[in-house]
Amino acid sequence: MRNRPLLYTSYDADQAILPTWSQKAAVAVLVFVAVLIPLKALPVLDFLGASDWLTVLVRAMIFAIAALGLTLLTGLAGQVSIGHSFFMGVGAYTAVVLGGEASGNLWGLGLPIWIWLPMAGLVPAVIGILVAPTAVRVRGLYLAFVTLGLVFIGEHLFRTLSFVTGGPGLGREWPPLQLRFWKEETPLIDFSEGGPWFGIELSSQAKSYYLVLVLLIVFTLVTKNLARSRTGRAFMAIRDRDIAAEIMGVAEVRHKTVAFALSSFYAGVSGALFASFFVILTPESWNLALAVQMVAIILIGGASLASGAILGSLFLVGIPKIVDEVTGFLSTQTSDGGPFKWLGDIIITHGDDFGFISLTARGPGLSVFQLNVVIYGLFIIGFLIFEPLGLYGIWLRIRNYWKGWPFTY
Amino acid sequence: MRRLTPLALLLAFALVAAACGDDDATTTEATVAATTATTVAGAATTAATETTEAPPETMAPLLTDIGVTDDTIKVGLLSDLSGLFAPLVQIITDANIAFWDKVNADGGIAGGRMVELVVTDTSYDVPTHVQLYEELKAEVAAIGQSTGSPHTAAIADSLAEDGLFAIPLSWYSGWPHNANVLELGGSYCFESMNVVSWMDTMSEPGWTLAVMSFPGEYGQDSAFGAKYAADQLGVEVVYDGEGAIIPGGDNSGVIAEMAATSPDWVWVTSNSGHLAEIVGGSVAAGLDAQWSASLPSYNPSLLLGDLAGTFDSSFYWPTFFAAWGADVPGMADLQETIIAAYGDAPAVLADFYVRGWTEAQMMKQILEAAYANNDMTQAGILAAAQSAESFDFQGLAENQSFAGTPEENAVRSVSIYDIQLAEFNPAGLSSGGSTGAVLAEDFFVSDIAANYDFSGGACFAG
Repeated sequence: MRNRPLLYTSYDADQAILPTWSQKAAVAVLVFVAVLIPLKALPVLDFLGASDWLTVLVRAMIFAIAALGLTLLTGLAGQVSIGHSFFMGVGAYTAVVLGGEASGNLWGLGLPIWIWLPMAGLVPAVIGILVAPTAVRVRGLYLAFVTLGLVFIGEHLFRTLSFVTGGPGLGREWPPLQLRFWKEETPLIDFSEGGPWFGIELSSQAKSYYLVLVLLIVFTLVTKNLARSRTGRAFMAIRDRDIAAEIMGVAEVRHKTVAFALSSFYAGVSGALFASFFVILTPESWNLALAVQMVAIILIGGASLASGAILGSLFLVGIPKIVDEVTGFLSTQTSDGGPFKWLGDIIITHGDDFGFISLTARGPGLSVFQLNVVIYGLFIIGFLIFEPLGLYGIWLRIRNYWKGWPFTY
Repeated sequence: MRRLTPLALLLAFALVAAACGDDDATTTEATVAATTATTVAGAATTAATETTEAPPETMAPLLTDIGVTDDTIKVGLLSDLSGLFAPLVQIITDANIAFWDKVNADGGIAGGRMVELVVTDTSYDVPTHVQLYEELKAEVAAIGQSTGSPHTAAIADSLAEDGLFAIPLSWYSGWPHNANVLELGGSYCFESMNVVSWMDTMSEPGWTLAVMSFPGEYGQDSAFGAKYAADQLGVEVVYDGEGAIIPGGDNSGVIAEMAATSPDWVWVTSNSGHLAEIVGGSVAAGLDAQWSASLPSYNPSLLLGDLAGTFDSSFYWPTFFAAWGADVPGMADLQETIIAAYGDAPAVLADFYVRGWTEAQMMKQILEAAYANNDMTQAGILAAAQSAESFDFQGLAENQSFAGTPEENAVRSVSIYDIQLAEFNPAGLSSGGSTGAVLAEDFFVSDIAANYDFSGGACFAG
C-alpha cells in the first residue's frame, strides 16, 4: 500500500501524528539538520552555526513556542486573541520574581529553573482562567477588543510595578538558563556559558539553542497530541459553530477556558525563555507590536497547526536578518565590483546616485530598518490577499502540483 | 497570471514611494547598517593632539586578529538611530563619522591605517542590541558606542567573555565597577552631588530642595546623589519625588504636590518631554523656583516652546562635556570639521556633537596606545584601554583614567551652563547657530563628591 498514503487500515494509523512514511522521514531529516546546525557540520548551511545566526534561530524557536499556543487558541479553538504579549510578559515576570536575584527594591527569590520555568507557564494559565469568563461571552471582533484591553492593562502594570519589572526604560536582569538542584554556586548544566560538552566546544548560544530545540519539540508533540484528542475535537467543534457544539454536548465555556489557559501556558514559558536568553528586557517590550507579531506569525505560517507556527516564526524572525545580509552583500558588490553590481547600483544609493535603499545616515531612500518594516507590512497584506493559507498553503500548492504531475490541471 | 498584476502594481508603488523618500538631512528615522569612511571635502588642517609617543621603529610584526588589517581598522557602534533617543544619538554618531573621516583624510592612524566605522541601529531594543553585538564582535576590533543602560548591561557579561570593551552611551554609576564597560564622563550621582553643592553656593541659607526622578537606575542614581548632598549640607528636601515620575504616565498629581511645597530649587532626572511637563505644570501652579536637571533630561529645543522664558531665567544645565562654542582648545577644530560635514544641520542639538567627538577621541587614543604596544588584537586593544592612565580631550571633556580602582577612576567633575535665550539661535550650524548654553561654572568637583566613598559599588544598588 506504499502508493496509497491516505488509505488507513487501522485506527492507530489514522490517528498517528506522522501517518505516512514520507512525513516520518521528513521530520527525522529536519530534526537531524536542526541538531547539526550549531556544530557547523553541514556542507552548505554551516554559516548558520555562527553566533549571530544562532541568536536569530533561538529567537525564532522561542517565538514558535508562543505561536504554537496562539495557534491552539486561534487556529484550533477559533478564539481570536491579540493579547498574547500580555501572557508572555506575565510569564517572564513570574520567572524573574521566582528565579531572579533580589536587590534594592526588586523582588526575587533565586529559585532554580525547574521551579521558575514551569511556574512561568502556570501563573499565566491561571490568569488566563481568570480572564476567561469575560472572553467566553464574546466572539470575533469583540473578543479581539477584550484581549487588546489586556495588552494595555499589562503595559500599565509593567510600567508601574517597578519592584517586579525594574522600571520603565531600565528593566532588570533575568535568571540565566542554568540547571541546579537548589541554589548551589555552580550549576549542573549551564546553558548560558560557552564551553565543551562531550568534548565538543559550544558557544552559549549553541547550548541555549539545544535547550530551546528540545522544549520546542516537546511542545509541538503536546500540541499535535492535543489536536487529535477529545479536547482537540471539542476545540474544533467550537471553532466551527460554538452554539451548535454546545447543543451537541460539548461544554463550550469549559473548553474555551481550557483553550485560554493552555495558550497562556505556552505564552508564559515562551516569554520566560525570551527574557532569560536576552538577559535584560524593559517593560516596554511586552507591547501591542509583539502581540501583532505573534498573530502575523500564525497568519503567515499558515493553516497547519505545528508547521504553521514554526514556519511563520522562522520566516518573520529571519527576514530582517536576511534583508540585512542581502543589502550588505549588494553594498559590497557596488563598492568592490562583482557579478551583482548592476543590481546593487539600482537598489542601493550612497546618497548621490540612483537607488531606493540608503545605507548612509542621510539622503533620499529607505533605510534598511524602514525597508524591514515595509517588507513586514507587505508580507502581511500580501499573504492575506493572495495566500490566506500562508506558507503552509504555498507548500500545499507545490505538493499538490507534483502529486498530480503530469496531470496538474 | 491575472492575480500577479495587482501584486506587481503594489510592488511598483512601494518602490516608487520609497525612492521619493525622506530628504531631510536630520531625519530621526534614518539608520545605518554599514558606513565606509570617505574623505571629506575641505577637511581641517590642524591635527589632533596625541598623548602617546609616535609608533616606535619595531622589527616585530604587529599582532592582529579581528577587525584590523594592513589597511583598515574597524570600529563598531551600537547606536539608537530610530528609537527613543534617536534625535540625540543621531547627532552623536554623526560626530563620530565626521571625526574619523577627518582622521582618515589626514592619513589615518597606526601606521597609515584607515578607520572604518560599522554603524548599526539597535532602535533602543535590547534583543536587537544583543543580536547586533553578536554580529559586530566577529567583525570589529572594538565597540565605540553602546546606547542605553539596560542594553549595555545585557551585553556586559558577553563583553567580558569575548574579551572586548565598549564605550557606553549612559552614565550609570555601576560602570566604573565593570572592567569591560569604559564610561566616558562622570556618573549621575556625582553629577547631582556637584549640582546641589553648587546650588548651595548660589542660595541664601535655609534654602529648600525638591527632587523629582524616574524610577530605576538612571533616575534613582541621580536622586540618591541629590539627597545625599542635601543631607551633608543640612538642606531640607521638602519634596522627595524619587521614582515618582512615571514615563508615559499621568504625573500631574505628583507635580501639583511638589509645587505646593514651594521649594527654592528643583532637581529633575527624566527626559526632555517630562522635564517640560514638570516645569510647565509647576509654573502653571504658581511655583517660582530655580531648576536644574541631569544631562539627558534637557534638550535645547525646549527653548522653541512656551517655556522658553522659564528656562532662560531659571534653568541651569550640568554636562560632562563642553557645550558647542565653549572656549576650550579643541572647539575650533571640532566646529570647523562638523560645519564642513553638516553645515546645514540646525544648531539646536549641537552640544551632542561634542559628546560624539570625545567618544571618537577616546577610541583613537586607545587604538594608538595598542599600536604602540605592538598588539592590536581584540585582547591587546582591551588591555591598552584598561591600562590607559590619561586621555587628552583638549578641554572638551575632563581627563580620565581606567588604570586604577573604581574609587580612583570615577570621574567626579561636572560643568554647569546657564541657559540664556539671548544666546540661542536655532539657525543652521554654518549660519552661526548656537544652543544658548553659557558657561556658568567650569569643570569642578565639589567636596561632597570628592569625599564620597565609591568603593562599595554603584550609588544606587537597585
